[in-house]
Amino acid sequence: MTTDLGVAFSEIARTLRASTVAVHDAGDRGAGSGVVWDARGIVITNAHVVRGAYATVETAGGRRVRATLVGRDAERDLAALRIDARDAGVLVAAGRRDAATLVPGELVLAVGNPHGIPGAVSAGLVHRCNARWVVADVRLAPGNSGGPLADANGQVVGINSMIVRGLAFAVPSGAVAAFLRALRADTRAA
Amino acid sequence: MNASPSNSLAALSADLARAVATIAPSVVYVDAHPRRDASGIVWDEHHVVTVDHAIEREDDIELLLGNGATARASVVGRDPSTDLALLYTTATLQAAPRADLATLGVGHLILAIGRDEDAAVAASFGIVSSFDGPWRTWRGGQVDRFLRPDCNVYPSFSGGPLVDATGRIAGMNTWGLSRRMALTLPATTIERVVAQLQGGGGRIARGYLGIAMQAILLPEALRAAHALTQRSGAIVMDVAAGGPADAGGMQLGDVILALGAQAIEDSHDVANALAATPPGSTASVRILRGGRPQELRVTVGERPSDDD
Repeated sequence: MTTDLGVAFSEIARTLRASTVAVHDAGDRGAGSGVVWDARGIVITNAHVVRGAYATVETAGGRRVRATLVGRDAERDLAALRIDARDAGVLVAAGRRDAATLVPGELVLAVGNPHGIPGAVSAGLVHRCNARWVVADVRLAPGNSGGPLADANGQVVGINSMIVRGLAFAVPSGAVAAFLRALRADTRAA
Repeated sequence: MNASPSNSLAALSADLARAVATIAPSVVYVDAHPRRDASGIVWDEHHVVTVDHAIEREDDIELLLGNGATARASVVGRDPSTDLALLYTTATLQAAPRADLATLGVGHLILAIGRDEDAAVAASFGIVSSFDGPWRTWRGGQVDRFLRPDCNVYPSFSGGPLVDATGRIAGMNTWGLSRRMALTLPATTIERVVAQLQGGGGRIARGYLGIAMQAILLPEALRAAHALTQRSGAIVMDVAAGGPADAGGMQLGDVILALGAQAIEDSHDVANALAATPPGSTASVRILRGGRPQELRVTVGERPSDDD
């Protein structure tokens, strides 16, 4: 491995970590993960990570802040949380890429809190991607739920949601965008 | 894919995706067993190699191809000793490029590729974990290199290729050669076995004795008396009249201890020893008869084709 490659790997992991948070449900049964979606305080995670109207988010900088549920789609296993950007300190929104442009064999990275280990990184290859799932050969553990799956440039392509027969299943970034659009439309209507 | 990789990791990602794209047209899904998914490698225009342990039907095998099409295939030959089966199809396929194994070593980046029953290509990557000298499989097959990949080999990847970082074939992955790990049958061994299967009129001519056997534990006293290290032998339950064993003087109740140099502990050992014995050659068979060791000379016949 060239030094260059190792450096690139650690830099991308660092970038990705900066936009990854730990999400503690109100019951605090253990942490899931989340992705800072915009710098004003929207965090995306899995619906199964947050059961109640509130949660606690721990930022990459180590601050614990209260988060309010702004939307949930159990069917797509997505939830949006809002945290107060002033309480949270510096929030770095994750870069995004449309998962529909992924091809099999591309390198992807997952960051999260598997087994409560903060910021752990795993890497593997994309198997396939459709409107429902990005499927990848990446090692995940329960605490990865809600965390980012990103490409080799650190651009988020999905939200890690489940493990099926050892394979990682992530909700594609396009579905997250659609979820947020629907949420905004609802808010306006209300 | 990003048009202009902005860092070396992105460049690696693009290389890996390119390797998958290179090999993908030559990886097929093989449906020849009701419960075992397998992949296959396009070896030449009309031939596919896959794992023997995923073959139940020898005809009416369905292949799912890279372009989404399906093709019918049938078995040309099978070699359980190396877990390899050679299939033939009238469809015209794109053969896979081969890697130069001389340039492969421990630590090199490799990919394992498979095709799912929904025809999607799938890949995992890792490094060459072991790359040693020749070894013999538990079924007696001769393999010229011990090649073990350290990457996820999903069950459906059995029969699919292990490729180098440029997408060229280093071998065929299989869960059938070890109970504990997935191993890779090197491309050079595949080449040799395929040639044997094709040269032998579509199969490796297997030796035949014309007996039925079952394993039997050897009493401690007998083992001690004759300095036997093996715990069991194969007792002859039936001798086909006029068959090779009959002609060689074998009798009901004989306990086979060795066939040539191969110690015999059960009927599988006999089958494996015969697989390596060309029909027409004479084999020495060491037996116990009435508790006493004896040596028989048997001219091995060729297994009748209906006795599979």
